[in-house]
Order: sequence, then structure tokens, then C-alpha cells
Amino acid sequence: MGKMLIVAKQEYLNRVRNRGFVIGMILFPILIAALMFLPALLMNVDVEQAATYQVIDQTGQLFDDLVEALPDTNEVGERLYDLEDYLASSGAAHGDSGSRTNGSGAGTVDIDAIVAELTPAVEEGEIGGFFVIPEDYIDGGSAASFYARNVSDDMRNRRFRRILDQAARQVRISRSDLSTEQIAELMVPTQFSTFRVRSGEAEEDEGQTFILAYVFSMIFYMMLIYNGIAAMRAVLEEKTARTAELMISSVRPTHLLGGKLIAIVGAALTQLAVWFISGILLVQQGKSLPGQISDITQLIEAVSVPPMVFVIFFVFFVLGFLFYSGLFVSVGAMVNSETEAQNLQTPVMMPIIAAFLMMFLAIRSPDGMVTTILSMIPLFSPILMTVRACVVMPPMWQVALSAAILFVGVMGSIWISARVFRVGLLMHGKKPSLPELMRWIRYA
Amino acid sequence: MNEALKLEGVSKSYAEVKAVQHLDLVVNQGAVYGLLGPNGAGKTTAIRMIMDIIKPDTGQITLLGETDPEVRRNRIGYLPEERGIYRKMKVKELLVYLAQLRDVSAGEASQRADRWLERFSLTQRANDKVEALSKGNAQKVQFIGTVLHEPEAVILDEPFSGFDPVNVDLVKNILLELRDGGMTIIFSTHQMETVEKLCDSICLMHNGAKVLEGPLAKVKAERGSGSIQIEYDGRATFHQDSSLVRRFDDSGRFLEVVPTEGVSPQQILSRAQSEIEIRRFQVMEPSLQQIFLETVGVVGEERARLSAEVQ
Repeated sequence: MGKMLIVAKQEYLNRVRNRGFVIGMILFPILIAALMFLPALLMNVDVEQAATYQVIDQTGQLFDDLVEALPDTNEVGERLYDLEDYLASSGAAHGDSGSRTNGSGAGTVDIDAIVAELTPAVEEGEIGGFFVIPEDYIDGGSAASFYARNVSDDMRNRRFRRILDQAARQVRISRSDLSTEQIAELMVPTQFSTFRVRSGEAEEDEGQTFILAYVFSMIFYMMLIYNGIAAMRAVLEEKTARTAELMISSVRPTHLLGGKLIAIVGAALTQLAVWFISGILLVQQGKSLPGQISDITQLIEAVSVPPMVFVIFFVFFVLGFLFYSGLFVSVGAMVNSETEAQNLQTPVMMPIIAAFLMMFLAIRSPDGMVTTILSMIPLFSPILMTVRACVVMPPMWQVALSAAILFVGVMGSIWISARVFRVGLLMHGKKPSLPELMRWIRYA
Repeated sequence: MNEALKLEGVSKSYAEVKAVQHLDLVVNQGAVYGLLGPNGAGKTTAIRMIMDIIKPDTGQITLLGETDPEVRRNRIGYLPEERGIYRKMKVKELLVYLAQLRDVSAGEASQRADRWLERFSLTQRANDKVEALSKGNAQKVQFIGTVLHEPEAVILDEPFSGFDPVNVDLVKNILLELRDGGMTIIFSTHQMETVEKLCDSICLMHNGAKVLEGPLAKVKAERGSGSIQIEYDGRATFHQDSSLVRRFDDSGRFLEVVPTEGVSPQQILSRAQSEIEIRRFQVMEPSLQQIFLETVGVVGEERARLSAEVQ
């Protein structure tokens, strides 16, 4: 035990003093902050090009409403959606604009010809796109169509759809005898808020819980991969630098491994502490920053995290780290080169990635059967249990059972890795096959 | 005398290769013991088994009276054949760490490290990183790491390889001092000359098996058919007497003879004196290399190869 702590202390110092570790520790929060704030910043910068859109309004009644409903401008003040009434302008050219305004001539329009005419213009970027609104659109008849080069911008598509829908309703309502005020009153949108019920209280939640669960999983996921690979490299280096033989002659392999694992967890906790403190500072400072950043930091500040969530995060973090570090260290002991390590580390990383993806399931249905079962499996439980605790606190017996299973998993992982470690450290040359690996585990 | 190390019927095979076959060894306490043999003889495998780095397939190893490797760890120093120390650590920090792993307190280890670094003229480098050292200096640091915890026995795998002649001498002298302090020294080498100067006892290995073992003097006396070199003036005829001389090589003023079995050098000398004027008379001990080659009994190309290896 004493020797294990000596190893742990030295390995910890070696790790923490490493330049890469310090740089990583500083860069990581910057990266996280960038990931959180960048979308908000990007939303402010409208990258969209202003363009003209043709509206083939066969109803003859929606165009003005659409122009009014799409007032967006880009940063130089141009209208993003510069709408043109195609039939009005082409009709004027043909000299029969009079027939359009009362809607009687609309039925004679050849849509296929217009589409054929406008398509090249869209493709060459002369116009942004065009809308075809059929005559019977207002009364729920055939669908309005939108033609453009990019129709994958779902947010924009939904907006167009909503606006067209709104305009059609407005026309329908205006057919009644209602006054303009009455119509305006009818069109006032409603509001919707979410309140989270927990331990006998209800508090407003504008997505904080989601962010919290996401941040916890993200931290765990990234730190595990970062530190796990660093630990794997350290063992590989021990092998290639031939220090392993000297170490094994001084210390029991299990103590050497144990010391290394303690050092990994210690280094990770150091990172976590540094980030936690810088996170608090960031949130405090963030309020004085302009615009959306301030909004986000206020949102984060509004998150109230019950202490139990932190306890669960801490317990599963430490156990999960030990579990996966054992596997990473085994990989390091098995291989002879960085390239081999990269191939072999993938199977260890897959479950971490899988658990990270399962997070979304756990957020949607934290008490569901599938989530409950998955959060009992040591490969996934570190991330899933923390997410569940963030979203809806699971029953304590489930937390305890999952922690107990994970603890057994940690023992198993260390037991296996100690054996692979002992044999693998001194093996040079060929990477072991699976049967050979089994022999290593049995032999040691 | 107590036994520092005892191997009984130790064997180890890898796949088809029998690395060590049924090896028996006894090393007395306070001895300087040489494990000799050409490359691939099984020396390193034997040493690794002694250090419990690999487990023997069969047999028992008793080191410092203990069969359990765990309880004897702190009392042994080990210099592996594959040298390697943490390159990113500082020299003194590394030495203190290695000693601490052998249960020496940090303070004590630090004092001892200072003394040893001075001895090896490395005091100036104490706070340099290992990776900044030359290969020779790194070797010195690793050697210090082997003896810093003042073990009762050290096991050194090819301790002199990688050192220049000056440092070979330094290490040799330090080993002799340590022996005088009561330390048992077991080392492997394929440099026969070093062995002749340093060892009390030897074990010759070949193809994983022991071919010869015992005190150096005894081995030489038993195995040796030493020759006699004579530098002379005059005309010698006695060497043609086959009852006296088994083999000879006469160059007119220099004569080398191998006495017939049972004939002492004294008899040769008295006969020679009566015939010629002797300027030099020297009884040559057989070199270990000769003994090794004769014992292993190899011939032809194999002999030439081994001969080159054990130089």
C-alpha cells in the first residue's frame, strides 16, 4: 500500500507537470466556452445573402401580407427576402394587370411554364428562389411550393410555412364581419413556460436541466478520453523506454498499476477543480458581457443543482474513471507502438461514445425501462446515472445498485488489467491475439 | 558460509525454445559471481527469473533465504539488461523515487543520492532531466539507482556494456568496494576478461544449460591445460621429448610448450635451465575463453562464431 502511494504521488507529479497537461487544462474550458457561446454568437452574425424571391401568388391576396411578415434584413440593411410579385410584374408587361387585381385572370396561368422559366434563374443565383401559391391555397386546398437551391434550412422552411399559413388564415378571417381590432386580438400569440417539480417545489426551467446534464456528460466524456489516452500512452512509453522491468523488480505490478490509476484519477480531479473554479468565475464575469453571452450565463446561474447530484456525479466520475482507465492501461500494455494503440483504443472508446449518445434517450425518458437497465451497466452507468440524476432524481436504490455494480466492474477491470499489464509490459514484438490475451490473464 | 542465492532445477521455455534448462546454482554470500555465456545462452532469462520478472516453468529459486519474491524485493538491487529510466524526471528526483520504492525514506535517499552523484562526478547534473544526459551518464544514474537502497545483493545484467574503459574501471572498483562491505554481487557478461579480474566464482551457460560452475581458481585448475612460455638464448631440444612436452611451438628465441599430463612446470624449468639461457619463463593460465570453448566442445565455424562472441 505504501509503495502504491509513492508510485501514485510520483506519477501524479509527472503527469501534472507535463506541459501538455497544463496546456490542455487551460484550453479545455476555452473550448467548452467556445462550444457553448459560438452558436449564440453565430446566430447574431447573419451569413445569409440578400436575394430576390419571386412569388407566384395565384390567389392574388397574400403577397402584401408576406412582404410584411418577412422584414428581415442582413447586416448591411438589405432585405433578406426581397419579394417580387411575379404575376403582377409579368402581367404588367403583358398589359393585363387589371385582370389580376380582382383575381379573375389568375386561373389562366401556366405554372409549368413559369417553373421552367424560373428554374435556371434560381440555379444561376439570379434569384434566391420562388414560391408557387395555388389558387385554392387559402381554403386549405393544394399545397404551396417553395423552390430554392437549398431547402435543408429547416428553420427557414418552417418559418415560411407558418407565415403563409398565418396569411391564409388572416384572409379567411377577414371574410367575416370582424373589425381590424378584433382580428388583431384573435391573432395575439399565447405563451408557454415549463416548471420543474422537485422535492415538493416547482421552479421555472428554461432548459437549464438539459444544459446541466449535457455539460456533466460532456465533461465526463471528454476527460475520460483525454486522460484515458494519456494514461495509455504513459504505459506504452514505460514499455518502449524499457522502464517497466526496473519498476516491476521494485514494486508489485498490481501496486504499480494501482498507483498509476490513482494518479490518473487525481490528475482528472485536479483538472475538474480548476475548471469548476474557472467556470464559476466565467459565469460571474459573463453577466457583464454583451448580448446572448450574458443571457446564457444568466441561464446557467439560474440552474440550482441539488448537492445530491454533485455527490452522484463525483462517485460515478471516480468509479467510471477507474473502470475505463484500467481498460486504457491494458491497451497500453498490450501494444508496442502508437499506431497499434490507436487501432486498439477504438473498442475501448466505443462504449463511452455510445453512453454519450444514450444521454439523449436518458434525458427524454429518465425513468424508462431501457434507460434504467442501461444505467446499471458499468460501461454506460457513469454517464447515464449522472444524466438521470440531473433530469429526474432516480430512486436511491437504483443509484446504489448501479454504483455497486460499477464498483464490481472496477474490481474486474483492475483485476484483468493488472494481469495484462504484468505480462504485457515485458512483452515486445507481436501484439497478442485474443487467445494469447486470455492466456496472459489466466497465467499471471 | 551462507547461501545468497540458490536455484534448484529451474527451467523456462518459450514456445519451442528452451531458454533455460534445469539450472542449478549456488552463490555464497559476499561472493562476486559471474554468469557467463554467449548471446542466447539463457543468462538474461535466468536473471529475470531470479528477479521474479518472469516465472519459471519448474524449479525453485531461493534468494537471501526467501522463496517469496515479495518479501525480498527491498533487499536486492537490479540492473536490467534493457536499460531504461524515466526520461522526463530529474536525475536526483528519480534516484530518490527509486530508493523510496525500496522503502528508504526520502530524506535518507536524498543524502545518499548526493554522495553517489559526487562519486560519479554528476553533482552538477542533479537537477537536469534524465533525457538531457549522455548515454554514459544515464547509465551511471541507473547504476546508482541499483545500489542506492544499500541492498544485500545486486544482480547486474551486463553491467559494463555501454561504459567507456575509464568508467568500466570506476564501476569495477565500486563493485569491489561494495563486496568488501559484504554485498553479494551477481552479474552476467560475455566479456571473459572482466570475469577473470573480478569474479570469485562463475557459471558458464550454453544453450540454456549450465556447462561449468565453481570457484574461478578451481575451474581453471581443473579444466586448464596451461601452456608455458619461454624466451631464451641458445639451442633447445628438450621440448622434443614427448614424455615431457605434449605440444610445442618453437620460434628460435621464443618457445611455447604444453606439458604432458603429470609433468609440473617445475620439471620443465629444470630441464630447460640445463640446455638454454632463460630470459623469461611464464606459466600461462588457460583463459576462460579457451576453457569455455573446450567445455562446450564446439568445432569449426560454430567455434569461430562463439570465439568472436566471448572475446
